[in-house]
Amino acid sequence: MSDNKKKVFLVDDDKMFLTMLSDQLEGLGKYTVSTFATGEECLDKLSANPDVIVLDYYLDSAVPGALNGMEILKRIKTTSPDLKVVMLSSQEHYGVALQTIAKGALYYVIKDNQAFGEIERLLEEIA
Amino acid sequence: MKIAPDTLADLFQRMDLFESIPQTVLFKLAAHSKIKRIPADGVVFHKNDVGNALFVILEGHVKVHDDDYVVTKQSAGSFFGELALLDEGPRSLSVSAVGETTLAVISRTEFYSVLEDYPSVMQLVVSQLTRRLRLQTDKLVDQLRRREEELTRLVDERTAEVVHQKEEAERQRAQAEAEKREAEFQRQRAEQSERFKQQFLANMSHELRTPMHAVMGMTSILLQKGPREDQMRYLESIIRSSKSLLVILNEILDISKIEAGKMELEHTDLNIERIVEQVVNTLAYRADEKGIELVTECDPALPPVLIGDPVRLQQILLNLTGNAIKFTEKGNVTLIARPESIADGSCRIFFALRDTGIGMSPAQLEVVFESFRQASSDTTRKYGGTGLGLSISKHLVELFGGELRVKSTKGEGSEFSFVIDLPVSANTRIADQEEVSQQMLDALSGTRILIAEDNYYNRIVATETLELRIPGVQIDAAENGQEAVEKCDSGIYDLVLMDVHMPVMDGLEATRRIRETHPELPILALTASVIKAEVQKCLDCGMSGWIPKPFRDIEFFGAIYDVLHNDGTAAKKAPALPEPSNDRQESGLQFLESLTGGNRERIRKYIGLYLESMRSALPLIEATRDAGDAERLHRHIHTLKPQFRMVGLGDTAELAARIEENLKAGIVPKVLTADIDRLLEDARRSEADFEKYLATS
Repeated sequence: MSDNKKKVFLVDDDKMFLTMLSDQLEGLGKYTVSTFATGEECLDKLSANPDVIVLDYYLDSAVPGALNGMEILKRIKTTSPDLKVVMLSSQEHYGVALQTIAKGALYYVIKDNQAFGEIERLLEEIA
Repeated sequence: MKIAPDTLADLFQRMDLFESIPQTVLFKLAAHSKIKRIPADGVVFHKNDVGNALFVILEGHVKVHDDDYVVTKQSAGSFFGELALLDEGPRSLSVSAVGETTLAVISRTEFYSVLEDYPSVMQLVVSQLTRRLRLQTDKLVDQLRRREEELTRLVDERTAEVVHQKEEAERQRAQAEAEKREAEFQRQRAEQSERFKQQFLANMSHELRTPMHAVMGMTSILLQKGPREDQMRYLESIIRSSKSLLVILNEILDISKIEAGKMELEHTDLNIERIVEQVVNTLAYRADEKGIELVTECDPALPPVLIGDPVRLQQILLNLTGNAIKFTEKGNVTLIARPESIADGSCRIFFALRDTGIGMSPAQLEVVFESFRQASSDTTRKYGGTGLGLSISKHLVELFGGELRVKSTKGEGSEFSFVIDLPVSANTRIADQEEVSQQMLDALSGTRILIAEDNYYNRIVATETLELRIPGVQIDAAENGQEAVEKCDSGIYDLVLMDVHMPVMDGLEATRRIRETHPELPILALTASVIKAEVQKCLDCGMSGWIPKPFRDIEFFGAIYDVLHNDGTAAKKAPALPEPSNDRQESGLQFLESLTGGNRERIRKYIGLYLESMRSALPLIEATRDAGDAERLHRHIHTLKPQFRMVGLGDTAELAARIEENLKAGIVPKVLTADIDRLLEDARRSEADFEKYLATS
């Protein structure tokens, strides 16, 4: 292994957020970032052994009928129970957050201006 | 035993060994041989015995062996011990009879004397010797190989065992590691859920208080509408219940804030005497009701102006005094405040509350400061309350750097006290702006005010607040900017209160229009945003000042008084602007600028993505709105919400969140058309703005 950058997968149907977050993390020079517009694409690439997956809650705005983050989370946890998943959502609801944590997500980050800093800090801690 | 020499010679002659030897010679040899009979298992000779004879087997079998290891077996007609013919040394192997065996023993001397002239015999002897040595060597090699195999097997086994042990150790280490990871994971999860709990409680503050205020606001409006006597009693009861609910609510929120470490004290000028006075004013009637005397001992030596958090200090004293009154049936409650020392610009103050109430037992004293604890479950029934007040007071005193102490004797009364240090302020008197003075309100009497605000509830609250406090005030309302512009044409208003975000025409545009004909008319912005840039936008379009929502009396009336009767500079200032760092919204492209470190290229790229997203999402929002597809509409709006935030459209993001909430609550899109249209309008305006930005930046 020539470089020991951590592999981070970002899954979000919001292209703007996805691009911004990806640029931001790549800019830190510590992560190799792969982006996916749907959870299904991400599931296909799980064999690449990412260190962390940052997964949005709703994923069907660009591809109608795409599975939502909760479902993707469940599938990830079935095949790779130890894989670290950070959930992302603009859903400020406590219940939703709790549900994702119960299903094995490590953190729940609300998608707003502070999300970037929060995710950087989280990755620093868990990746 | 005896065998005749001619019989023995006959036997010799049949042996290979003596094949070419003449009968006479064999007869001679037989005559010199001895016959030896060995019983079964009897030993002929042992290894290392010294021997000098050759043995010829006449009858039976022998085994040539090395201890238990049998090198070879020989039967009648064969011979052994031939080595003794060559070398009179020790025997290399042992020989024993297998069954009963008869041997002819030919001594070395006899053998050579008789067979001296027949070297072929010697050759045969040597060749047998060689064969036997080879046999013996082969056996040894075989033995060595087997020994080596055995060793290899042992080594393999041992290696396997070591590998197994190593694997086991590795497995145990991995398991310990996994357990450690699991524990860490659980810890993180627990922390996370604790954070959510706090976040949840903090969010509840808004979500619970807002409807409570609505209930109270609406109820007080109904009270003004001349209700019947019985209705009046119900309404008053609603108000009372709401107030106590709000008290409980605030206490729960306070304690959660404290536990989350989010409670912070203000540092402003305060006057202790005034705080004590307000506590007494608030609670005097309750003491009166119970026939208790409420006494204050406020030392005049206290510096007039100290620096601290007046609201929280008052909260502590209110709680302690309220408790003292609650638990005292007769006698008095005394509130004491006196300086203990003043040095280095700091004053050490002693506060105490003494009562002649029911007091507490030592056991009750131990738990008195715990959250949700009351002296007994009876207490709750008899005296009410959440049991949080003292716990909150204790924490607040700690935030002030003091410690809340209690002394009590059951049946005689209690004393709660604490000592805190507060800096002495450089000011000698406190700025008189905490309360709206009656003088100020009187000066506003008869004012004609237009309220332009699209939110029904905010409109009612503003109207109500003004009508209740300002004598003879005349209020008119407009539901959007357009209506406000039209109403202002009449020229009858002294003041316009203008919401910034309204459908049809927003407050900024309305202000610009009104300014064309009424350059002097005071217009105050009503804005939920307290961001400098937002406020600046209001001032830039010609507004005279601003009032933050939700309204606080002092800011509300202060700003109105300022623009009507002062020079109006105070209303333009941003007295309570919080730092944007702590705010979830930032305005304009500040966020993108700070995120990218001002990288133009990246900002342009993100704006491009924002525009791209709007271009595809806005028609979808329109389509789903028209189709009444609440679920898809919700999803599209949900996706846009963070994007609005990123580009600084905080209010639009809030509007999106509100629509989302309503859709989730089951309200059909049709009912929300006005809001959705406003959202689209905001988004389209932003598209235009950002296209301009991309063209010029």
